[in-house]
Amino acid sequence: MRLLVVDDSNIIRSRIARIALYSELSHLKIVGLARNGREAIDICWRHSPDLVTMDLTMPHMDGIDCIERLIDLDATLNILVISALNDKATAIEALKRGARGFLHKPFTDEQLVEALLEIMR
Amino acid sequence: MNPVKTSSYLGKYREIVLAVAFFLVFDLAVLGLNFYISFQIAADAVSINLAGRQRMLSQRMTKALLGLQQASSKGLMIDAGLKEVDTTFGLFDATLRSFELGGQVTGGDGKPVMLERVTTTAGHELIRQAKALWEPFKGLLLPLHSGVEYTPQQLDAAVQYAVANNLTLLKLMNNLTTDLEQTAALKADRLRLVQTTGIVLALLNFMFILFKFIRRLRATDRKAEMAQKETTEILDTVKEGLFLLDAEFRFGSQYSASLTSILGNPIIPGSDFRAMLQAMVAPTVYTATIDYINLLFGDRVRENLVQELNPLTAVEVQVPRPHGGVVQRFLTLQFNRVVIDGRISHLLVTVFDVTKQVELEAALVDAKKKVKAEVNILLGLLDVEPATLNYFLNKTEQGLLEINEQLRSVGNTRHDYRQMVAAIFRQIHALKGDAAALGLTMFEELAQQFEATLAVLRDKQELSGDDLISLPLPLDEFFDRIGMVRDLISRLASYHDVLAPEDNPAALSEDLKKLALRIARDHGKEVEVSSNLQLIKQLPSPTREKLKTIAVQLMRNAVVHGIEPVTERIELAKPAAGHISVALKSANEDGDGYDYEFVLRDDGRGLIPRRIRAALVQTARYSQTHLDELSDVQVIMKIFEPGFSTFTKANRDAGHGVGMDVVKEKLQQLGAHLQIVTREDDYTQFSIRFAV
Amino acid sequence: MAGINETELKVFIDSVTHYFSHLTQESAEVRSAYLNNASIPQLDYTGLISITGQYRGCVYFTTTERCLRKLLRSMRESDLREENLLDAVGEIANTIAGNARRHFGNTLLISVPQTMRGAVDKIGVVVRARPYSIMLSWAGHDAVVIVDIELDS
Repeated sequence: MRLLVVDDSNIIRSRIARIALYSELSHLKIVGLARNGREAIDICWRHSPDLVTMDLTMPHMDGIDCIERLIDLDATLNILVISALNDKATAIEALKRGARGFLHKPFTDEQLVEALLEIMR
Repeated sequence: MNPVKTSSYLGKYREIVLAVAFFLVFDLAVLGLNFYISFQIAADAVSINLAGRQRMLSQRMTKALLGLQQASSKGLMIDAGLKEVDTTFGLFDATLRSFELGGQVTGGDGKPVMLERVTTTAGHELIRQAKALWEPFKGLLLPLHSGVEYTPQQLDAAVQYAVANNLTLLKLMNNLTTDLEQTAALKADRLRLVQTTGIVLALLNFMFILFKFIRRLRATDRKAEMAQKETTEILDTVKEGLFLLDAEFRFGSQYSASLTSILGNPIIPGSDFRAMLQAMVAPTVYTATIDYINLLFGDRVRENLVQELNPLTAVEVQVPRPHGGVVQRFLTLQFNRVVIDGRISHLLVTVFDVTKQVELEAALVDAKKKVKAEVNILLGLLDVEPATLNYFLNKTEQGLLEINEQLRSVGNTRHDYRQMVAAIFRQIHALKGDAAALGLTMFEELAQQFEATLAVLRDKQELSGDDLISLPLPLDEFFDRIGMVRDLISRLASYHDVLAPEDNPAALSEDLKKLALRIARDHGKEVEVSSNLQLIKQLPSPTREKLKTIAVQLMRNAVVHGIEPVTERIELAKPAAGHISVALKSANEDGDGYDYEFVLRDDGRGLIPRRIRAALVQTARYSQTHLDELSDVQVIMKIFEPGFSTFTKANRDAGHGVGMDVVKEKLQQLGAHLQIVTREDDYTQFSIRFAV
Repeated sequence: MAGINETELKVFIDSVTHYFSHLTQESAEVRSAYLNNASIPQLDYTGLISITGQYRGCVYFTTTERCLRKLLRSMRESDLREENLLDAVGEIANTIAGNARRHFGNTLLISVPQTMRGAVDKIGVVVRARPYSIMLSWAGHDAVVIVDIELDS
């Protein structure tokens, strides 16, 4: 399983990566850490991940558009939206574009692990 | 999945399937037997028929031989006779052979039929005997066979043989017929038995199936009924609203009893959930919900990972009430997929009424806010100059006590409620003004709330005692707050004592000055304060505290009652601003045992017994005669009685006298000596001498 | 802090006024309500219930002997001995308890009424600094309901 982490926050990116590396998710291979939608699409082209964690508010193409483009590239992609967004309608829009689940920021290590396991199920 | 299902399906009905199979096998076996025996009976019928024909043929042959003999002797045509002999002979011979060995013979209708050979022992014997008779006869008849020349002797020998044996032959054939008939009858009996047995078995089998099937059906029905009953019980008792929603947003046929009341709408199975939803929630929430439900019916999203996005979480809805109107509620509608055969068939919708939780949460937030606000208010109190605050608290408390007293007395006497409410309203209103002027928001708000309660009563057409029940509550709240602030102040004071054991005389002077200026401003007066309180740091702490209280009260008294309003002062050719001096001096040199002297002097109107008498008369506490008996000094000392000055005016200034009784109390505690020197329109001086 | 509101206060008062208006021809009226910061009013006879649970404290009804005599007479009771007067005041306390149970449900535990005659030491300020006093008047007689309960923290 190949994981791509998309988030504009350095802290969140490295945190997700750390959790993915040092938990029962260690079978995940991190193929990229993207800071925005453009980078995410670029990495998808080159490494075709199976799993993506996606922030929604980012510079250079926001999460919603990015999800749509990624799903266009690979319809089987498993995308988990991770966002602090309080606007449910936007998150639901992300799901309509093809994301499979939503995790609210802030999250605990366990919550992230659980969410990723659930999405790969 | 499917094969498993099928096998379990078979498993469930195996007994019945087997029983039905048995039934069919029985039926087929009986049918087969039937066929077989029917064939047998048909064959037997042929045998019986032919055996009967043998009887007849034996006679016809004899008759034909006799006829032939007669015709030959008379020289008549013999052809027909020969032919008859020939036919009967042939038929009899072939049939007899077939009876013995089995074979084809010409039947009664001239068509060939199969003849079974005789199988019974008796039959064999009869055939053997018949053959024994027939073989010689056959030899005799051979020459008469058509186309063969025969002699009359030969004919006679044949006739003779025939006549001699034909009865025996007839008897044999007769017996054969009887034997065959008996065999057939036996077979028929057996057939009937087999058929009966078969039918009985089939019937038993059928009954078994029926019994089993009905029992199973009834068990299934009972189970279904139980399940139905349990479902109904669950749906009737469960507090939450439960229903199923299909992909077309239609309500399922079953839903919990509470659903109707929670949603406040009758549920019509099969009706569109969206219509109800649209009427209940905001358009944005509605749209988001429809999207959310559609996502759940799709197979892309993970149910567990989208719960948080449910737009119908603690959503505020307008629920119609049974008898009209709407009530505001907070509902959570939880959607869970119902998966059957790997397909999402429905969403199970659970409706929770979370109004209480939401309200509790809101109350908690409110309470936190309130506590925070209160802390801020209390901190705000620290901005108010202590003497002023103390003055305000005392004044407010006194005012509230008076209000309470009014409430108490109105119960005993037939007072006018309206008048009393108006009076209380004015008092509270004035109090609110004071609080606002001092920036004491907490008390201002309390007064505001009290005022609002009073305003409702004031505006009522009719006032009764019932209406007054609401008044002690804000009153109590007020007392509580005053107590709370006092408590806080005393605690802060104890901190202060520890942290700053040296009282700062400058600070006390400043406090007194501020107090004087504030009260003067409130009363439209002007004052100047000069002070010399350096010695106060020499005093032990308890003495110091008592002296401070005395100083505050005397200062207040001087401003309110001593100093005249500016206009009045100008008329008297005095400076516009009144002057108050306050000083603490050493009194050692006098040698009267007192260590210190505290002096507070104002250049106001003086403390005039005449005016005090007039004020006392107005209070109706004292009769004129009683007052007349009092000396001027005694009259002046009345200003130290509780609540004295409250009776001077019945307006917002009422209560300003509060505290002079405190002065008296403190003086007693100090063991101090009080001297008052005063002159009308000139000055008043309080001198307090005390030892430490 | 105060933990009691007007509605709850009325629960206690209404039970008394209803008692009088249902059992007698004359209705009792509230004259006034105030805070008791000094002496607790005690008339000749007193019926008291103690409350624990969500709230704690006591509620009592106190009235004059003449009032109770008149009450008994208006209920066609000719026996006006002390036991009967105590019974009457106890019955009113019972009514208060019943009404309170209905209103507060099982969040409150309410004692069996105690009845007493004359100034009884047992009554004093129990919980509140200033208990609520509601003055009633029935057929020209005075009675007071004192509500001295507070949220139990």
